[in-house]
Amino acid sequence: MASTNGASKKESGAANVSSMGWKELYLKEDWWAIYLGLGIILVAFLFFVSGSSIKWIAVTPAKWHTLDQAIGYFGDHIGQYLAQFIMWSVVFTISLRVLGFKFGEFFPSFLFVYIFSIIIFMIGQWDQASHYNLEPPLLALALGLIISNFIGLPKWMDAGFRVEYYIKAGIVLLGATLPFTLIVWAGPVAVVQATIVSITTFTVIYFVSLKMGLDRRLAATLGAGGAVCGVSGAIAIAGAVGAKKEHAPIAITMVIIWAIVMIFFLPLVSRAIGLHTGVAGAWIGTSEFADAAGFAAAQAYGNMAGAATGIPGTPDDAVFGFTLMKVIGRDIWIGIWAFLFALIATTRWERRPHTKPNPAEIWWRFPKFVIGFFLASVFITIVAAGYSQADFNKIVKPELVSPIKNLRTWAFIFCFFSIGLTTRFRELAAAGMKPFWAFTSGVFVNVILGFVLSTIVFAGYWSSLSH
Amino acid sequence: MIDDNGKASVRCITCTHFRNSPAYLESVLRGLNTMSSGHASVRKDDGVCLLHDLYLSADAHCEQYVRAQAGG
Repeated sequence: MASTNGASKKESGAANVSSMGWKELYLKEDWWAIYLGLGIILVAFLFFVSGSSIKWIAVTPAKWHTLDQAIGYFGDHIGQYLAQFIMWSVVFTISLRVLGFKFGEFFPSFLFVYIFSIIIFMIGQWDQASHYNLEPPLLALALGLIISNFIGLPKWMDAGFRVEYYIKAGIVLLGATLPFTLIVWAGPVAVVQATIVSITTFTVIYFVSLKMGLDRRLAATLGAGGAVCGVSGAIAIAGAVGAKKEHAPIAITMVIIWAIVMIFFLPLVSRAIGLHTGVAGAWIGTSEFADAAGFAAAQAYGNMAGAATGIPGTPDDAVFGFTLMKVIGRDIWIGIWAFLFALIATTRWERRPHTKPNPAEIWWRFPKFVIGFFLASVFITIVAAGYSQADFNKIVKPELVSPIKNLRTWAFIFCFFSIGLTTRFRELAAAGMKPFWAFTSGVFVNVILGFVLSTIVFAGYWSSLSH
Repeated sequence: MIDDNGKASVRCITCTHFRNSPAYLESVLRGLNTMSSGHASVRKDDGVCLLHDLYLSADAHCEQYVRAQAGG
């Protein structure tokens, strides 16, 4: 049996792996994101209950006004940054080695990511950064795009640009800052809103695709990419319906292009009309196409909130609104979409080879990192239940929750920078005008419908998340 | 024949034409690692059939099945 990175004589790097089954507990990055995220939370809790805190290692750059201040602060805390880098390197190396990556490729690449992440984070802490729209997520993405498309980096460095792994780990850590009571209160609304938009968007993309004469498997793949879960949705449905090999890359290209456009478009439009951060977060959750891109947009807009801009709400409202809409409203249903389309493909479409869809697909395709997200939320909610609101704000938040949030922010910056570094426009598959217009028709519907539902129909919920 | 997971082994996963390693998929499905991953749970064991040029479930099968050699 070949290893995951063994090579056949026919294709370089191509190998079979055995059916994974429960081996996915150590061969899928979703589970490693759970181990990493919950591991950090557990360690943070153990330090907390022993009267200490992990905040020393969860260092972030401080606000600064002059460059001398920024450099001075960094110099005073360089030991902490070094310790943090070692921590991240160790936890990522262990998991990525098991997943088949080479230490000699990951480590230098991650060092590159970490150094630039410090720079990006520090720029974002400049007291004039918001005035110039130098939000870390947008800056990270833009810098990554410039480097990958105009300078270029060797392909082996992709080992350290693990967008999905970073965002999944970040989402698990996010769970520790999002009360489970909020999930219970707003989750059903998120599901209703997301379902309306997802089904509508999918229907538009699918039938416009068919009208244009595209293969129905491509139509379904495009629809899933635009309506359900971005690239992950596209590949899940593509596999479920037995799409042609070129269909998934076409959908991936469409998702990436529009997701990057939306990272800038949604926050900037929200800012222009002064949307409450929770409302904007929900809109981004319905109208962004990928978790990583959506968190970039939501965090960027959340950072714009405050007296200086007049934007109501808190930074957390934007992130929470997005998380509820995208993760709970859309991501967790991917297995059901895949199963339903496998059923449709085998019972109504003629295709070869034949597959008997199994309801167990719903579990196997479930984005497992969401389990970590829920567990983290439940855990911290239970911890918080033992404190009054005042004591929670005075003790638990600074000593336990804030350090976890800081580490989450780092994971997100690694992710946003990696999006830019891995988006090489010249290498993306050519999609053609028909798939472009079919997908774009869904984008228009998605954005408008998401806007109406977020800012009018369910605005009351999204603007009340902090309460 | 039954494989280690107790399933009938005449499936794409054991066919010589099937490729589904995460590294391979990230190389042929351009852009996959930008906003997803070959190691994601949602992918399950899906892979590419080199014979039919399809991206499909590892549980699929067809008349052109050829059992893969051990180690290949």
